[in-house]
Amino acid sequence: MKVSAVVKENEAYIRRQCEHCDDIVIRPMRLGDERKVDCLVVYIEVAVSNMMLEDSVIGKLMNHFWEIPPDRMKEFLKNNSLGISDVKELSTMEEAVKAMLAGNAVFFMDGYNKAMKISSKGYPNLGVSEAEREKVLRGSKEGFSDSAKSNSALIRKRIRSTGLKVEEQFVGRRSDTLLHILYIEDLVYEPLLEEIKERLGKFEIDGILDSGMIEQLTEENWLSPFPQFQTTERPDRAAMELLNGRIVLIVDNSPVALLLPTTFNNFLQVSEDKYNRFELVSFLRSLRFVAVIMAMLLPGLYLSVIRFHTQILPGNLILSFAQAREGVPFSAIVELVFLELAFELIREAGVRMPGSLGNAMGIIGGLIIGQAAVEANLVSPIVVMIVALTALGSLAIPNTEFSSPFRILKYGFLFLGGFFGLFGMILGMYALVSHLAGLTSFHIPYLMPYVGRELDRGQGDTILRKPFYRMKRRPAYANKNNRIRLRRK
Amino acid sequence: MFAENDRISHRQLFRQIVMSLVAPFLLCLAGWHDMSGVNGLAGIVIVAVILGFYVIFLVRLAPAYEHMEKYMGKIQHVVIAAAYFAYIVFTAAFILDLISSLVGTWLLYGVNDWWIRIAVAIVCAAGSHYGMQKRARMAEVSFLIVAGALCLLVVFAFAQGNLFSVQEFFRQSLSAARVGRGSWQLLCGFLPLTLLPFLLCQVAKASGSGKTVFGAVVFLLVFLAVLLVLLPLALGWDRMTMETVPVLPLLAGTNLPGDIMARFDVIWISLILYALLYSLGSLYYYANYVTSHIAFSVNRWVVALLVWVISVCPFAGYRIAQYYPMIVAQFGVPILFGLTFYIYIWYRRRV
Repeated sequence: MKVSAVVKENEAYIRRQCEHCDDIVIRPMRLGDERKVDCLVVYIEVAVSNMMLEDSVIGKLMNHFWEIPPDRMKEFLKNNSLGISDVKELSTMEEAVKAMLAGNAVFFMDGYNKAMKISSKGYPNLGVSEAEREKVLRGSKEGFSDSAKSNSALIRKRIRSTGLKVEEQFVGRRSDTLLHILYIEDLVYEPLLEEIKERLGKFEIDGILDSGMIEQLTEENWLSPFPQFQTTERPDRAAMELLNGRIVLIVDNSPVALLLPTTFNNFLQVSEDKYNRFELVSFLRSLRFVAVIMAMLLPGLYLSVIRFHTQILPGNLILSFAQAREGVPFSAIVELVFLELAFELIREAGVRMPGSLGNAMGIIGGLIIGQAAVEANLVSPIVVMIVALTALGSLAIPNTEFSSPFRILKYGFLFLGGFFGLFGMILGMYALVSHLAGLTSFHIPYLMPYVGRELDRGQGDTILRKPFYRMKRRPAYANKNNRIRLRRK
Repeated sequence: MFAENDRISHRQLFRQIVMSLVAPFLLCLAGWHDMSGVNGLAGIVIVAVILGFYVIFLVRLAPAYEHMEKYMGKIQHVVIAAAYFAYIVFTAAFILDLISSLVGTWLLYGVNDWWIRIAVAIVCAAGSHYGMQKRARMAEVSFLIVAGALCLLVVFAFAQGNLFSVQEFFRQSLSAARVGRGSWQLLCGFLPLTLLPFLLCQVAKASGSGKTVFGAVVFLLVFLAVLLVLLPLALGWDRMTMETVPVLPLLAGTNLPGDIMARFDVIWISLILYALLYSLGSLYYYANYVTSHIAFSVNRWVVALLVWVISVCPFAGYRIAQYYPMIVAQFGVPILFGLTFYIYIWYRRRV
């Protein structure tokens, strides 16, 4: 429906639409020096402050309307409004309502068949705060906030180039959630961009409340426990990945951005990997790989060794294992499953507890319950150690979403190792490698760059990282015509 | 989208050939009968020369396999596919039997052999219908671990063993008959190469892949030659000839330096088991590929079931491990090698 030149009609339409919406302020007024021109301002009470209406350019413009004759108002608006940076003309009522629901004020004037969107700070949000889940010792401490626009601005702050494109989309039939697709025009691989847009257009849903929902709706293999999107809450990480030719998706109301395409290797890297020296980074990355193996395989390996292949252990070690298990009434499998589940409970409780209480819960759970279980002869000390090492491995994986599949697979390997020994473990490993080899993220093999290395020559960013001045090329998923990242002069 | 032509690289081709063949070679060829001592080495040299030419021939033949129906006609196409399918299924059954006996002897005791075979058949069949790219990626990530471990095995075996005198290696004198039998035995081992044209249809720049394929063949032959030298030195000639699988006692005696573990044989066996699983998975893949390109497409689970049945059911009182080597030597090699030449003749006529 077109915006009418008669304000009363517009007001009636808005009142109909916003019936029982008490948070929406519909403020009719009469402006002009003789107070004869009907005007209307519509906004959401909390999203648009009175300060804004008083201080913004349009606010001042409206104040000016009190002083000029009505016949000059229309002309004045036409000549001046579009020059104002935070004002946009809207020609339909649907656009006007949408703009109002997005947290802006909308202004109508009698005799003028356009509405004015007056930008505001929008809805209240937490603002820019420190990244909680991706802490680093070196590098920016800034983290994303809940506002997509602020998040895009944080990235723009780091890449001040018009090559960085920010495309807006709205998803969710009822939530009408703002989604930003960010990419660098000449670095992104075009078909990848088309693919994500196509996938975003393939579903219709009532509401999108977090980037996690977009992730699950657009991934290729939804049965796989492995995440096919990388997540970050750090603008510097997002900017770095844009420079690698990747695409960033930012969803309003979510402080977590999605990076695509994603590979196994990406999940074991942290943003400060690029800021530190290559020797340290290579060492730390190797440690993270060891962490992955420990988080997934350690309980299963322990069980297969003590239940099936004791011959591989030195005699003294077998004896000490046997002594440690003396008096424990349960089988090693039950013992391990019991303690693993206890640890998962402690972890879950710790996450949901408020700040300091969560830490206390971890200490109480880990130390006191573990100690008590050993003293009560419910578990052996060696099992406590195995569970602790597994937990350490799981926590050392830098990405929470990525550590989750290993937490789940751990139980699979635990049973395979416990019931079938190394045969079961190898069978499980074969199935896992087979699954990972078939997994892709936006058609990029998940195991890149460990597979297809000829496509990734010169990047030098795998388990071991090359010295920074030798990392001359972008990853294989960047635009083929623009793969050189660093040139020495 | 990413690999637009959906083809695999030469590196992946190399690794795939090595990964598929290395474990069966290790268990079934090294030190067996005439594949030992100087006669075995001579056989390796002869086979290397023969395969050098044969690989070039197979590379040229690849287009004929890509459009076989066009060159051979519908009926011949089906018959050829059936021959390949039969070979693949019997080879898979043999590998499954090998895995089951290896697991039963070394890794898992007291479990019914049937269950081991069922578990292996299911795991290897699952996902075997996906494209060649997946198998190539599996080979690429697994190769370094498997090949690295096997190289370490050789180095440790040389370094740690109480090696017998070099004379042990020369205990058997050079004989044309033995060299001939050893070469034939080795050619039987390389029979899976006849599947190569199916694979080459899916390789980037296939016409230039001869070097890569021959490189993989040489890699395997050199590894085998090293084992032929190592086995009599480590075990002594008499024991080597008495053992059913001479490599196994070698694994049992080779440990990691530093006394980290009392025995390391289980770990070596686990790695070999992984490579065998890969071989079996590859055979399932080829069974799917060969049949999906002709009229009688066979479901992967049906293939797995067929393989399992052949591996557990004796034929005329003989188990697959007993009659498979004989079938391959007497029928497999002449028929499949002959078939490639037959296809080549038809292909040349039509082109």
